[in-house]
Amino acid sequence: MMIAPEFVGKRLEPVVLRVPRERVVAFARVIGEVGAVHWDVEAARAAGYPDVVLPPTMLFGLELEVRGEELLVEMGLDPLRVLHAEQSFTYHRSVHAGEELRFESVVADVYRRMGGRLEFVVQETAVYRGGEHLVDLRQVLVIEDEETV
Amino acid sequence: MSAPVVGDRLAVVEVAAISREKLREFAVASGDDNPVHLDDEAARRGGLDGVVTHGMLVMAHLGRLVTSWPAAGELRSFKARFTAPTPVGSRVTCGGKVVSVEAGTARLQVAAVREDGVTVARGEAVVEVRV
Repeated sequence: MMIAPEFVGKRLEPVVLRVPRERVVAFARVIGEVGAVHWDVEAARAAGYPDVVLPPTMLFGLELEVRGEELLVEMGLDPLRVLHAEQSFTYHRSVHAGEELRFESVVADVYRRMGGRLEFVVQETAVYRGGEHLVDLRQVLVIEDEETV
Repeated sequence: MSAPVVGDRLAVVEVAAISREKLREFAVASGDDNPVHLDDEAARRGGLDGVVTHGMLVMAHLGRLVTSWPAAGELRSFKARFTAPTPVGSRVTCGGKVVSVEAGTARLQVAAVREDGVTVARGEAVVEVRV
């Protein structure tokens, strides 16, 4: 099945959230990140940050947790069959626990490859803290088209 | 510390066998609770052989590889492609090298490899070089 081309350019509802300090610490712990600025607020402040710093990949899951599978289901996809193909981050400013973060996302592209057997969805996200542009994310998801397999 | 040179290799980061417990812990901490990382039946319905590691957990380990490089200052950008599944129980080795140095930044090419030699993720990072 084909994802309807009308999804390209679709702006998603902004996600607004704050990351508790304990959540940053838990994430740093599970990935084995030992840098003190990620789990010790005194070390973070001594290094010039207002609170513990989010490790570089943490923003991805925070948005996903709020959005869930709604977009994929709306596109007619089975979320279990959607794989994460690529992920990129471009960093403008550091991100810290306790701040109000706003995720503004758009479906940037939908395309097919391999004679239509693979379908790709690209979502681009800009993360803001007030008027400050913090990080850009780009994710590419891939779905193997069951009908043409 | 001497300035980085193209071809310099990053000290390898070894990731111990990724357990189901680790995947549950990562699902909670990251926010990605996709059942393919938690439930074998769900993973099979998704076309996989069983539970697989989150690509983003592998990318997080590659991130540690980059940020723990002694010459790394601020991270400017980081990207990864997930090229093969990482089944639960896999051990992963993360390594990389400097591919260019210019204008106070270094571009690093990194990869995560399963214990059977299959590359599960390839990536690139641009860091400011710490002086």
